[in-house]
Amino acid sequence: MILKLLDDLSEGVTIARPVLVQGRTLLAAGAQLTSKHLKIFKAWGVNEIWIEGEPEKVSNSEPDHQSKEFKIVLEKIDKRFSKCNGNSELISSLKRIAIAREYSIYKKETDDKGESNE
Amino acid sequence: MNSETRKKMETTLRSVGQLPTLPVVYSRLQKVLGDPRVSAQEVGSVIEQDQSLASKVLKIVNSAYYSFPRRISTLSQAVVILGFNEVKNLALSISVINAFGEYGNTAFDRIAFWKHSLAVAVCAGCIAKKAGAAISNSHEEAFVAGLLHDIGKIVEDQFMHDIFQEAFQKGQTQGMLLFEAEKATMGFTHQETGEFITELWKLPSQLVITTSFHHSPLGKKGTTNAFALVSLVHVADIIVRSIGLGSGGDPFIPPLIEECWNLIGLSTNSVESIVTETTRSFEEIGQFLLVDTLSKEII
Repeated sequence: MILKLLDDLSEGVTIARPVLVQGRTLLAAGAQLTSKHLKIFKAWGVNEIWIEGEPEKVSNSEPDHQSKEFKIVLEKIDKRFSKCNGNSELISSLKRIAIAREYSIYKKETDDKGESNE
Repeated sequence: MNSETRKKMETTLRSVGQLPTLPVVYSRLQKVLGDPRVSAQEVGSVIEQDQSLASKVLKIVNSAYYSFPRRISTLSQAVVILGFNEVKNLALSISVINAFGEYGNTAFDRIAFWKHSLAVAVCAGCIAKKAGAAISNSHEEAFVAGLLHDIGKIVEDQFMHDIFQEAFQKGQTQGMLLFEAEKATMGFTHQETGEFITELWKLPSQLVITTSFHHSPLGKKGTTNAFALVSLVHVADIIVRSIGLGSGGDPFIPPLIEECWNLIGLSTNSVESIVTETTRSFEEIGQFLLVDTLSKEII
């Protein structure tokens, strides 16, 4: 089950939790989303809904853990997290997200630099 | 706050002479909103007295951040749709950023600071919307608490510049969290300065509390509403520092107080969506709140 912003949704996904506005059910769990539903949700000011599925990775590119770039990113993130509680579940999740995000940004910057040098 | 620490901070700040004030329009707005019979039109008229504020409020309410289906063309309309509290919070946010814009070439990057503060505001608001029953604070309350949580740093940079720069440099060279370096150099931190300034500006007590306890939230654990808002800001600060949006003055993440995260009542599965929504909303609102005010492209 994942929480998605309305702008990121397309027709056909399955609703995981009822969509409620002011205590009234606009759409029940298990229903398939249509474009009409999206218009109604927007009119009622609904910004996000729970749909069936697995959480997506923040970054689309899977880091190569042996690469020089990954090691540079890991060093930066390790420093960033050096003063907080490593045994916390939240901190561990944030660290994973930070590594993926930073790697994605770093890769894009180095790829852009490579393109502009050609 | 320890009374001796408070006295030390006040003595330092008062020795500067002129204390920082909020724009007049915000004081007028606070006064007008104190009258339960005030109309949306009257509130709109007060905001209109400051053209820059009025124009910014309208730009923001018509932005993707709010995503209203119809264009809002007047301030009184904005007041009716958003409500008095939200408009007041928006006016406060804009007024504070306007009051403390860029400040010459210093090592303390003020643009990065405002990016960080705005990101914490957006993140705290996002968490408040998703949080469990223990959090009764609205996302608007959480937003403005997040925006102001580090206001003490800006006051120190502008009004106690030399000693604050000394603390900042100490933190940078010795690898310390900024509040640790502040304590070691000045004898007090931005929490104490923030508490003083938010009291001086007669801001709601909840905002005073979040500025003074966001690094030490357990100090407010016995007080349910105050602890809830401080918890939101404490966790939002940590999330924003983790993903590196802006800078709070040091490159580190401070220790997480687990009780704050437990109170919020979310699972770690929700963290990715919080991060996604925070970065999206930050981009949407940042261009209106920060670009014109700080005269540079922020995003």
